[in-house]
Amino acid sequence: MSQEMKNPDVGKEKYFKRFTTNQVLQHLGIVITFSLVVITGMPIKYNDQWWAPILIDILGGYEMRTLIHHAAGVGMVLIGIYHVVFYLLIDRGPKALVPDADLKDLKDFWQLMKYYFGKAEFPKYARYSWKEKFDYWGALWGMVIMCLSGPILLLPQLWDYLPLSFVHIMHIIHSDESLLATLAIVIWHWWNVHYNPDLFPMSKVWVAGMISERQMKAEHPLEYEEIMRQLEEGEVEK
Amino acid sequence: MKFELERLKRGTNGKVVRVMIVLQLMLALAIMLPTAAMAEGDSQCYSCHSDAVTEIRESVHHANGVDCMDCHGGVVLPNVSLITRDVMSGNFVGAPTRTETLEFCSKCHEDVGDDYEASVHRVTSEKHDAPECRDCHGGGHDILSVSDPASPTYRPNQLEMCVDCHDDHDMMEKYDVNTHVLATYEASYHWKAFKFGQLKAATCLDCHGTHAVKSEDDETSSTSDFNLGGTCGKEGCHPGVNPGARVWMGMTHYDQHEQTPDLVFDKSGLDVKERAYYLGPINLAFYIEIFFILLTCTVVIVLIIFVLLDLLTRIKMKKHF
Repeated sequence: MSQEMKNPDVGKEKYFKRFTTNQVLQHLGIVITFSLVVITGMPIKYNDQWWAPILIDILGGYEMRTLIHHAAGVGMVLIGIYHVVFYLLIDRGPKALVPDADLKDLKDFWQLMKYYFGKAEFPKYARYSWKEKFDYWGALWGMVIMCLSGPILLLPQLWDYLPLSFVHIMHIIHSDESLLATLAIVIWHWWNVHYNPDLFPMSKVWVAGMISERQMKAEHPLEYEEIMRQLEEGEVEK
Repeated sequence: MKFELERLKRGTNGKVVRVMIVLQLMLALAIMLPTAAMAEGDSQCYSCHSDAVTEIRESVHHANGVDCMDCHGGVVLPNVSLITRDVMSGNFVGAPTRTETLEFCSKCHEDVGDDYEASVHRVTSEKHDAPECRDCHGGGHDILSVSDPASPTYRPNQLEMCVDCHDDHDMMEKYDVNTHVLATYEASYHWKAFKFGQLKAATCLDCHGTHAVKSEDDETSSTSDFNLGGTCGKEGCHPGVNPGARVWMGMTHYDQHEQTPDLVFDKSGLDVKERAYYLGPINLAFYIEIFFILLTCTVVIVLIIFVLLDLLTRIKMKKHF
């Protein structure tokens, strides 16, 4: 884990490294490509809506819409392949996103629900809370589905070997999963990192890769304690 | 001339009159012959059939030098009498009946006629509602070029042209043709692209052919099992798909919303193409759609409940950090 404590001169607040540049760039790439495929794809899914022709006009006409959708989709597939290859073959270190074997995530979830009704303390999360794990695996599920169904629709060369019924079903999946992914991002992810009152207008972690000590203590206390323990024992350099 | 006039004055009355008549006839001929020669081929028809001739003059036929007589026959017989001078007469052919049109138009449009004759649209006494030339190309006289926006055969108008009959439940029922082709086409990506101005996206004729429209059960049809791959792979469509591609295994006009949740254990009654949608007794197109509807609704409701709980808690308590 690359969590050496950093102390840049940003006020008096201490900052911790949360994401590597590699991770920040991957996220940025997904932000851009995801936004593009959603904006260029939704007017097709909801082609009967009043805003569909307006949006297509803004995007520069139908051909341009298709071109952007395909280009962004290919970009998304490449980022997905890079992500999987990188974490399966090159950097096999941290397993922080894998759900805990002792069901800590389930317990945390239940404790959070009790907390909402005033029956328990706010759960103490480690490096990644169940929310973030759900976000990650949800996004991965979406990526796998979209990046498998998309190319089947894009590459007619594959139709020599695929029955039309299969292509048709991929069409249904591609369309339905796109709505699920968009709603999950807008409702859930944006609430957690954008417009909840603690972070509004947005958490800067995704740009800087740094997290403030206050946020660290509140949202990842177990990780904070672990880093502090390692610092005292001299396992990690300042 | 002066000598001639002198002679006329001197001659008898009767002689003067005879000469006058001859002179007048010569004068009339001299004026009328060039006029008749300069007249357009349809000007004689216009005086009575003004509407039809106006339509013809705006049609693609007139632009290519085809006029009344080329289709309707007849000859100009001038000077039959003073009254019927310049009026056409003789062996006219009237408007063809629905079964006669093919022969009528094939005189010039030979290839197209052959294609149509072999098509499923060929009008016969049993298939009287089937389209003949005029049903698609216009009323008869006002036939327009396929590139004319006012023509029913103009690319953006083609869907309407076909749907005119194919969405007519009463007519289609007579010939056992299903009427869900429009709904299923409008559910397809082809239509969504087409209606936003992507005119190269496939519309009816691109897959089914223009004049040689045939049933998919006909081996020579562009939509038959073997030819479908080649039809998809046409230049400008999806090059890369070859004739004989496995893509025929499925239904082109198929809407998952039209399917039923019935479990089908005995699929012997199903067409092999429809069978391609089943995994065991389950219709995948239907159940995958249901799965995603349930999944999306559940996830969205749970997430909204969570966000609301989170919001209420944060309002009640002071800031978290």
